[in-house]
Amino acid sequence: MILSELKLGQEGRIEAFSEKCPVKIKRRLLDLGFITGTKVRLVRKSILSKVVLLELRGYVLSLQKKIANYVILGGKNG
Amino acid sequence: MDDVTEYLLVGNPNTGKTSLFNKLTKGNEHVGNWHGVTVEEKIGQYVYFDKQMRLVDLPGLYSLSTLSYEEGVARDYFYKFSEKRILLICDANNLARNLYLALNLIEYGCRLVIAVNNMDKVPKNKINYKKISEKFGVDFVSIDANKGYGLNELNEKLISVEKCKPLKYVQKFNLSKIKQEIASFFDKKKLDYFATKCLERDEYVIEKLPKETWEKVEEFLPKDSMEMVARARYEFIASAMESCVETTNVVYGQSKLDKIMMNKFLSLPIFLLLLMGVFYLTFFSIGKFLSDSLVQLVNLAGQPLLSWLSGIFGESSWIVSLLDTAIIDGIGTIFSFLPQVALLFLFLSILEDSGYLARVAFMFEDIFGKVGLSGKSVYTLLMGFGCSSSAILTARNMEDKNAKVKTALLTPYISCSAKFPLYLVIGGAFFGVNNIFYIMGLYLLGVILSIFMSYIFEKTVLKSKEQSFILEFPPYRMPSFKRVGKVLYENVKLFIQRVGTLLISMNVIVWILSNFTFKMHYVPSTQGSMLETLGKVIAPIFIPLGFGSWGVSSSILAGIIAKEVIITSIVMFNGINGKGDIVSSLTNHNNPVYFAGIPNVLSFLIFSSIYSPCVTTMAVLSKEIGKKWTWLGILIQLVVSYIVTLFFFNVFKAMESFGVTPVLMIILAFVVVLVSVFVVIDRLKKKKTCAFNCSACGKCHKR
Repeated sequence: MILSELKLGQEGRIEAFSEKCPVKIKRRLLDLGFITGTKVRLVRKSILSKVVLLELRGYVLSLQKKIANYVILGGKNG
Repeated sequence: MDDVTEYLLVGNPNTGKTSLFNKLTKGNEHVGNWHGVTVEEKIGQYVYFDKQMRLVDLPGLYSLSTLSYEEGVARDYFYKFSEKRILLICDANNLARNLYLALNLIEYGCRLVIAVNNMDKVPKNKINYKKISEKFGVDFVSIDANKGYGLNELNEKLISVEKCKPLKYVQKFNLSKIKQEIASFFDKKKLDYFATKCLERDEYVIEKLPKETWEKVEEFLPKDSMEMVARARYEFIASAMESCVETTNVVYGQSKLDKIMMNKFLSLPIFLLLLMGVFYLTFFSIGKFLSDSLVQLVNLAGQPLLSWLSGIFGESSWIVSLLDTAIIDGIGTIFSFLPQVALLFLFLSILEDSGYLARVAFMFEDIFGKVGLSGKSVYTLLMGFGCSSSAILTARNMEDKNAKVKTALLTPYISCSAKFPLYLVIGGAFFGVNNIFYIMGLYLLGVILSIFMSYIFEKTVLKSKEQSFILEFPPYRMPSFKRVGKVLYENVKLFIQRVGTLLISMNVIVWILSNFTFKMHYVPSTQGSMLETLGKVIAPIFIPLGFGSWGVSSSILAGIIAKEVIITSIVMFNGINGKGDIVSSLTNHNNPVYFAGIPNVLSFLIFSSIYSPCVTTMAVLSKEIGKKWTWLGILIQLVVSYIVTLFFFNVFKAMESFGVTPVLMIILAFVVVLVSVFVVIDRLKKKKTCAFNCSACGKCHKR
């Protein structure tokens, strides 16, 4: 599944990046700690669900859904 | 003191970098809770004991492999001046991610000091500073950028800082082959660093290398080289933090308060309710009381002077009139604005510093972003219902210049409270109880027009900055009284200094226009004045809109002074006093102010609700966004209001000819407006937008 498909409060483990993810964005996501195996939780969605609030590595950041779409999560149970 | 200690201030966005800059330099820049307040390089100087200190504030950075334009600016500056001292500020609550940038800097090997900013009373991370300094080989200093704790230690360390040693983990990779290839293109001492950047496929490095060299280097790179580097850094940070930092796992955005504030259904009502509260307090209860009292005070103080002058020159002398209507009233106007300005800034800084606006930004980014607005600009716009001029001031600290100009230009479209008496008197006379619909319609029109114009500006000349890649999420914080107080003091002072003087001189000009003929004869009432003559000259312009009598055009002209004046001049021109029948007076074609029918009245109301900012607002605009934009904005607004009014006048006239009753007219007008709104929204939806930064992806659409 992909990161933006998580339900509110649900957690997953990062497995890979989508092939479509531009290098610059991939590097930035890595810089922000989106490294394989890292746990990510979807904390909140904005009103139209175009932006998601994520928790990883003990901090919170918001990401546009389009970018969250690039992150692929492993297994059903994370 | 020729020995100047120079250093660069770097850090992630929202780590308190600007606060620290201000604390160190004792400057007074306001601190925002959102994305980088700093866009350009900012230089500050101060003295620490016998040392002269000089620092450059760089735009916020997440990593030396950059994404946005601002980050690029910071990176280039860093590479150029990397021999200078570097002060990195980290947010104690977000230490791991902030230290990622620290590792970038350490890999480069510079004279680095790390300030850990503890903004909260109960820190999330308890840090053993001695241990962590040893681990990283760099001095860590605990500070509080808002209160100014730890700055002496910081200065000491900055003065004595030595070049740090690159850390071990970098050597884990076999960089020798890459280093061989790139050796002739970079500083020999920095080869480890730039070889690592090759692993990261960093654009800056790729650009510096000839194409063949890069292609060769690329062959050495494992497929997941980017991730290898990021993982190594994060693993180093994690292992270092394990022994030096005690972490309590608090995560923002999940508190009970946030569950309510950021609830899908409640967030919008709560936001609107909060703004309504601010609005009520500023323009009605406390604010109005303070304004009225201050105006009375000014009048009271001016009275003895007035009666003294009347005694010398006689009551009907122009000197008395000048003092009374131009100067004393002008000062009164300025004072009446002070409480509003103060309260608006008070509430804005509380909303901002508490972390609430950052949440608003997150929740409503989808909605506002579409038309190029933000939570902050919505605050300004909604406050425009009270008073355009003081509302526009609140846009002052918006970080994005285009967004600021846009917000300032949109605010005058919102129907301010000064126009309300006009709606009440004219509308009430013609439509009785049904007037409520007309008033609602006029307010709605202002809102829709401003949203529409925002869309137009966004797509043409005033594009707001690309949505940031990520938005920081601060915890809720108690706003500091000291800082809020400072914001209030600064802004009220600025208002008096900048707007006050301009306002008085404009008042004098308007007074001359309305009290002198073109032959410079003094006329006590406006009769025969330049204003009236001008009114007569421009009257024909309004014939297509359905109100071509000179009384109307003169009132419209006079309304530029202040919107309340429209109705007072209509009353004066037609000699409507007390209980005289307003409707019969306004429909009598022998009177200066004359309306041929209901469509004409509606047309006039629409025009006067949107046609131009008042003099005070113009003064504020020109001080805040410059003369060029002010004139352009006024011109655009005049044209827009003329076209809109022309459109509605003809629609209403057509409806009237079909025998549509006035109430039905307004309902139909609602329908027309709503349909057009949906058409616009539909168009917005179809429009493809970039995921974020066009220049970075270059795929989603051509510009």
